[in-house]
Parts: sequence; C-alpha cells; structure tokens
Amino acid sequence: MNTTGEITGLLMRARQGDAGASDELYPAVYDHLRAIAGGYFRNQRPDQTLQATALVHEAYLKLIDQTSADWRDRTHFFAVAAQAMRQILVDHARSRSAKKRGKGWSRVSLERIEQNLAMSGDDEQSGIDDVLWLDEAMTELAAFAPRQAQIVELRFFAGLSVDQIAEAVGVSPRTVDLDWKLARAWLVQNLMKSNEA
Amino acid sequence: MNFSPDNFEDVRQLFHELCELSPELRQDRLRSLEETDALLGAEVRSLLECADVDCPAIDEAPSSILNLLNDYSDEHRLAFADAAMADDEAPARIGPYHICERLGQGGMGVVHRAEQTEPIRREVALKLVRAGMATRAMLARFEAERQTLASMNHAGIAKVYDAGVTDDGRPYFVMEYVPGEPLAQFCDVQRLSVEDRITLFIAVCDAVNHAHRRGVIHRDLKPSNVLVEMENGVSTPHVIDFGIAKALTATVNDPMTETAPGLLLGAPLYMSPEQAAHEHVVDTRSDVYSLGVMLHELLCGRTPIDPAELRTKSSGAVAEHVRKQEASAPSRCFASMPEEDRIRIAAERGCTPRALQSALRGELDWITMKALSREPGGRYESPSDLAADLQRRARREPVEAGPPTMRYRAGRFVARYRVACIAAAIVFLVLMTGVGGVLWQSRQTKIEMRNTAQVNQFLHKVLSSNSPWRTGGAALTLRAVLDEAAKDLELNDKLTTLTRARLHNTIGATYWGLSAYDEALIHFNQSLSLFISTVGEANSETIGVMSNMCHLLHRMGRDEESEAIGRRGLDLADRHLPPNAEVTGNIITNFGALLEDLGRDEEAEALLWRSVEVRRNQHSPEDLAQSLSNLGSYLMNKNQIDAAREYLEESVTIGVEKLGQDHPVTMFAQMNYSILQMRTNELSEALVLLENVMDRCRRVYGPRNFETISYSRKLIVLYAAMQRLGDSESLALESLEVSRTEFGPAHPMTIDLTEHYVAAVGMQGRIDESFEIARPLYEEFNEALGPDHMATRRIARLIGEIYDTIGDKENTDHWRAIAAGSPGSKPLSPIGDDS
Repeated sequence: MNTTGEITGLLMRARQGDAGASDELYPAVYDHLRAIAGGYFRNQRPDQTLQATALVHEAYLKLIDQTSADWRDRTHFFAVAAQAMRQILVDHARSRSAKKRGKGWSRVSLERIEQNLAMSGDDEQSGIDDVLWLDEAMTELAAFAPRQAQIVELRFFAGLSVDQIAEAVGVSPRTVDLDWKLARAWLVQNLMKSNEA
Repeated sequence: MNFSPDNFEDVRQLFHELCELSPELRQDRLRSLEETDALLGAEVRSLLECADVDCPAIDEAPSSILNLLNDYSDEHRLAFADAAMADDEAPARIGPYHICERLGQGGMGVVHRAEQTEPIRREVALKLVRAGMATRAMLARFEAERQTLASMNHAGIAKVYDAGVTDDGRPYFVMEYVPGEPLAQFCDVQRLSVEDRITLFIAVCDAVNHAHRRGVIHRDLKPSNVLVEMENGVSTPHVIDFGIAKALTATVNDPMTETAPGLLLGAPLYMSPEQAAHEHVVDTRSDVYSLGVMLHELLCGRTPIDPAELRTKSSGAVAEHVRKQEASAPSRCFASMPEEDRIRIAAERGCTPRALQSALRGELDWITMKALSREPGGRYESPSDLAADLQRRARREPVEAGPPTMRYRAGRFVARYRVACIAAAIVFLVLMTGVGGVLWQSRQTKIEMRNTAQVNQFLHKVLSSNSPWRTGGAALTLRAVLDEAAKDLELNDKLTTLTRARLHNTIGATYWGLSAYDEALIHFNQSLSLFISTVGEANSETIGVMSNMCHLLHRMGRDEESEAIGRRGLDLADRHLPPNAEVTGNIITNFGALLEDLGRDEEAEALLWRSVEVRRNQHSPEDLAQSLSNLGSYLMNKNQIDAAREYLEESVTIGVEKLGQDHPVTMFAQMNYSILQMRTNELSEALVLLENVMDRCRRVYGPRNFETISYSRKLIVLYAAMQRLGDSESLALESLEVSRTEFGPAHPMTIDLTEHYVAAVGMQGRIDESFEIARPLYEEFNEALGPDHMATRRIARLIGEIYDTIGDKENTDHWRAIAAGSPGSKPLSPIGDDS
C-alpha cells in the first residue's frame, strides 16, 4: 500500500465511522505536512517561497487518491490539514520566540491594532507574536464558537477561499462571509481587551 | 465587553442581521435593541465597531504565516542536513541487533554489519535510513510487501529479514549479510575478461528475473547493489536491497509528484528515463534499463552518462539529463575516452584497447542499446530475455537486437516528442496549481503575461539546440503538444464536468500564452458554458473565466463582445462576491482597460481607481503594480502628469523591489514610465529605459509575441520623436511583418504599425514609396472587409495624410471623406494615439 492509499483509506474509514481511523489520520497528515514544509520534497529548490495554500494543496494532491476519494473526504482532509498546519507553525513560532527572547511570547502590542502607527522595528518578531496571539485567541473562540474558529483556521492555515470553506464547513458562502466578519470582530475586540488589561 | 457562550447565538444572529443594513438603519436598530436589552445591544455595537477597525495582527496574518512557514522550511532544511550527518553515527545496539563495523554508505543511509542475538544468532547487514522520510508510511509499505519479499528464494537475492524504527525514530532494514564485493569493483580487481563479465551479468539477470516473476521490482539496480561472493573459486552475485527501494521511493514517486520535480531518490546514472521523469509506469522494464546501464559499464568501463557530467549539475538538471541523454553504444563510448583510460580499462579486461573495441562493436553494442531503449517498449521484455540474447551471442546465433534502423531512429524521434509531452504536462500542472487549481482549488488566472513568460521558459528549456523541432519554430512544437492535450480533454470521459471546465480554462490560457487567440477563445467559451451548467453564474470561477474572456476579446479587437462579457462579469462580481475578492479585482481591471480604450473616460476612470483600491487590500504586489500602472498610464493620457508620475513610480518601485526586473509587470510599469518621460520630453532617459526593457521583453516573451510587438511600437514612436527615422523605419518594418503573420493583416496592431512605418518612410521624403505601401493595402482591405471596416478607413486616412503633406488638397479631401466612412460611422481615434 502506498501513501496515497494510506491517507485516502483512513479518510474513507473515518467517514464510515471508524474512530480508530480518525485517530490515526491527524498524526499521519501532520507527519506529511511537516515533511513537505520541511523542504523534504523540495530541497533542491531553496529559492522557492512556500505558501500555506500551495502546501496544503500539494499535500492534498500527493496524499489523496483522486479517483476514490469523494468530496467528504476532501473537506475532511482540509479540515485536518489546517489543524495540523496550525500546530506545526504555532510550535515553530513558540520555539522561535523562545530562542529570540529566552522566554515565552510577549503580548501583541497596541500598535498592531492601529494600522497607521509605524510598526515596531522587529517586523519578524511581531509576525511571530501575531501568530501566537492568534492561536490563543482562536482557542478561546473555539470554546463557544467552534464553527467560527474553524473558519478562521481554514482561512489562515489552509488558505481556503470563502467558497471552499463553505464546502468544508457545510454552510453557504454568505454565512461563511458573515461568520468570518463576526470572528474577526471578536478577535479585534479580544486584542483590544488584552491591551487594556 | 465580550460575548460569552450563553448569548453567543443571539449575538451572532443580530450581528449577521445588522451587518447587512445600511449605517442609518443599523444605528436605529442598535438603539432600539439597547433599549430592550442593554447588555446585548452593547455587545453587538462593540463588535460592529470592531468589524471596521483595521487590525494588521489579523489582516496581515496570512503574510505572517507565510513568513513563519518559510522560516520553518529553511530551518528544517538545515536540520535535515544535520540529521544526515548525525545519521552516520549508529547506536551500539538496535533492538536485537548488535552493531559492528560499517560496510558502506549510500544516499539513503549507512549499512553496518550486525549480529543478531535472538530469536536466532546470525550475521546480518543493517541499513539505517536517513531521518526525514515519512517513517510510518515507509514501514507500512514494507509490511505490505513483507509476504512477497519472503516468497523470494534465490541464491542470487539477499533476503530482507526485518524492518523497524530506532529509539530516535530512524527506520532501518535488516538483510542477509553477504560477505562480498560490489560487482564493478570485483570485476576490475579480478581482471575479468569480457566473456567472464557477461557470465556474471547473466547470473544477475537471472536473480532479478526471479524477483520479477514474484512481482517485485527492484527500482534501484546498480553495481553497488550487487555483491559478488567468492567461495571455493566460484563467484556468485547477490542482489541486495530488494523491496527497500520501493518502500523508500513510493513517497516521492506517487502520482502528482511532478509538482515537486527535481528530487531523485536512487542513483541517476543507473535510472531509467521514466523513473527520472517521475512517470508512474515504472515496471520490470525499468529494471531492464538499469541492467543495461550496468552491462554498458561492465563492458566499456563507463556508464552511458558520464558521471563527470552530472557532478556539476543540480538535481533537477540531472533528472532532465537522464531523461534526454542519448546513450552512446559501448564501443563508441570507449572510443571517445582518452588513451590512458582506454589502456587501463582494456587492461582490467585482460586485453588491448584495440581488441576490446572490436569485441564490443556489433552484437554487444546492439544488445546493450536495446536494453537502453528510451522507450520501455523498445527494451527486452524481461531480464531473462536480455540474458537469452547474450547467450545467443555466445552461441553465435543471430541476436534479437539489431543495428539501428530507420525505425529505430524514428523511435528516437518519438521519444524526444514524449519528453516534450511530459514537460508540457508539468507546465500544465504548474499553471493549474500555481495559477488555477487542478481539482477544485481555483484562483482567477492572471493569464496572459505570466503564462507567456512561463511557456517561453518552458520552450527554452525543452527545445534546446539539438531539438528536431527547432526548424518548425518553437511555438509550433508546443502547439502540437497543446493540441494533443486539447484533444485528450475531449476524449477523456473520466473527468468531471467541473474539472473539464477548469482544464478548458487552463488550456485556453496556455493557447493565449502562445498568442493563439482563436483557440484560446474556443476553450474559454467551453469552460464558461461548463461552469455555468455546474456551479452557475454567481461563482468566482465562472466570473474568472468571464474576466479572461473580456481581456482576450479586447486583445482580439472584438470590443463589443468584450464589453458585453465584461459588464456581465462585473455585475455578477458586484452582486455575489466579496468586494475585495481577487476575481473582482481582475474583472474590474480588465473591464476598465477595455472602457479606457473605448474612450468611456468616466466609467473607465472610476474602475481604474477602484482596481487600485481593491488591490491595495489584497496581498499581491504583482496585481497592485499592474493596477497602479494602468491608472498612471490613464492619468498620463489625460495630461495629469504629476499624478501619473506618482502612481507609475510606485508601480515601478514595487516591480523592481518585489517582482524583479524580468517580471512582466515590472517591464510593463517601466514601459509606461518611459512613455511618461517621453511626454515630459526627457527623451534620452526614456530611450535608455525603453531599449533596456525591449531587450528583456524579447528574451522573456520571445520576439514574435504580442507584448514584445506592442513594446516595439512605443520604441518606434520614440525613435521617430528623436528624429532617428532610420531606426524607426527598420523596427517598424520588422514588427509589421511579425504582426501581419502572427495577428493578421487587419489587426489594429498591424494597422498601427503600418501607420508608423509609412510615417517613417514619408518623413524621410520617400513619398512615392509610402503611396506604394498604402494603396495596395487599401484595395486589399476594401475588397476583403468593405469600406466601413476600421482597417480600411484607417488606411484611407493614412493615404489622405500623405496627400496632405505634399499639398494635394483635392486628394486629401477625397481620402479623408472615405476615411470618415458611411454616415453614422464611429469616428477613428487620432493617428498615433497608441502612446
């Protein structure tokens, strides 16, 4: 059995309610995404810029047997991949941040709310802080608004479009659009509050 | 104030509802809400306010994530290299195996001799694989094959006993230990004669054939995977690593891995072309090819590809080399070596160079070359067929392999063509995954410029100097490949309608890249009707195709149709897509450019501004630079020079800094900037910039491309403005000829160039000559297109202008009247209005 069949098989079994398959799916997808992101498949092309979207889709093409998977497997795959991508990048951000500062991450500063203020000198660091903050905030959001949090996850970490998210989440594009607005507003609010605190 | 789980559903519903309202209604609704439920009202109000706050931490998250991902990738690329180093250290003990001395090292990892202690005590070879491979999947593949591997029972095959993972996560394989020497080394050290080498080689074929009959393909046959054991004066070859190459390579040889070309696992020198191309038809005949390479080396001392040639190449270039290289026969290869090498190699075979040369020539050459056929179908069906032919030769019977014939050569030709096909398939993948999306992810194609550049790079790469296709012209070749693909798409009934719709769009885009507009339009039309029948009109992909068609029809000079589809698409985008959607940006831009050309200033200007606004909210420097350029160029035409300079400068800066000098959008921006310089009379600065852009343009797009020609047109005008009339004339003539054949004699571009050409001739005082050019053209157009066609009228006007310069009033008026067309005709745009 090859890899393509392996992940596709897990997806199909998961669809048929096999809990074991669901459990195996995440680590398998996680491993593969890590290998792809780690340049394993492109170590001859160091000049290439990687994009989360392209990467997740590359993984999709690589790991899913297109002939036997149906749309439910596809949406399931993207959901799992977005989650894995988030995990990989947030872990990386933590280790980066720890290396840089010698401790955990610091709070996202107020400047990051107001666009017109010049960004702090260390753009890279603020990018890392942004992602760490986002991750925490998304976790908080997911506690009472799981669908909205997932929409944010699919948008940022799998780079899906509104239509694709709609398919993955199973609601209309219009709802995705509004839910995204809501989630974003909540995130802004959360950021303002944490700055006030 | 922050909402909580208990009232989330209420908040959500109110938020959705209020979002859709106008600001006034929203305020009214909020006030009444706050009266009934102050807490809830305050929450919703706070959220609605937050919705309008710009927040880089969120809005720029995609770029933060992108940076993080690339940073991760960089760090881990290094980590892989580190891991490869660390892999050289094996622990003293792995499971039941006690690790002894190192036996060798290959691309995949290190091999040690080891002693197994339980359940039985034996000597084994343990191969420790580099970290970084998908361990679990690899072992799963191995497990799946374990039964098959166990069924192999042949003295010439080293058994694979076991596989597992070390404590630090590195996979390993355990094999039968063979105390032997690698094949090539053994033969040379023992100074085996050609005949003895062939005898050993036949034994190798026999072992590989045994595995094939049990359904196991080796995939990585090479001399270091054949160990020769000497026992009591009898030498027995053992093929090692059966089943391991497959477990290791399945990951990278999966379908769709063409998206990551360049990675070769295994030894490129011994790899079949289809393996190097990552084709999925790897079968027993791929092993036959590798055996052919080994035979070649055993006979003449070198592999068909000179290892020295590969050493300096990147992995991608190696793969390409392996796919394309024509192997030369062993005798020929031997003859081409320096004398000292020939003396040494012959000595290792116990003979003189001359004797070796004549031993190889003829049947051994033919047999080797048959095994090395580029097409699997041209090779021996199995290793035993190869062995049988060698045995026939030894018995002096006629061999199955023959000398190269016409058919053989024709086969070669087809093989080359196949390379083009494979490469074309890769280009398609690039286009589809990078620009479109193969199966369902689809972003609007920003086709023309980027595709042209990609297609040309592809042509440059595939159709190198010795290509038989070269005489037909590069474009013809890709056309042939593309036509095949288009035909395939018609015949392939396995595709879903949606995939078909997307592929038509992509193929259309590729035709467009080759300036094959009619074909492009046919495919876009098909794509559009398929999209409408599946996902409907109100869909970003459907609108994306409309946007392409609007642009293409505009380019083809079919303005009315362009306007109709552009307006329809924009209307749909406005009603159904988010205002900052990428597709919305594209249709606004394409439709705006059309309206600008049609002289609908008010509407066009609004769209050009909107296009910049929309794209400032997106994340593509390429798109933004393009929109800025369009706006700048429009403002320049409206004589708002300072504003134009501001936007064009921004566009050039983005281009140079973010996209690079050779990027189509950068060149476009610089071209516009040079025109601004012309307008402000900085002619010599303009000339330096424009000539520089032209050079890059010819290189990136090719000399016969529409973009190149339209850039030439600007340079023709500039030369004329600088009174360099000779330069202007010759560039105009050259471009005119290209334009006539590529875009058609009545294409607006061709007419523009005719005007410039005639003007340059006339301005040099050669009035008669200018009449001689214009008159027959007029008659031709009048005949073919009628008196009211734009092309006919423009040439009539041109003739009138020439009469005007020589002061012939009567004829001037006559021709100007013809140029005006029948009553109610659209006025012509002024001469030379193209800059």
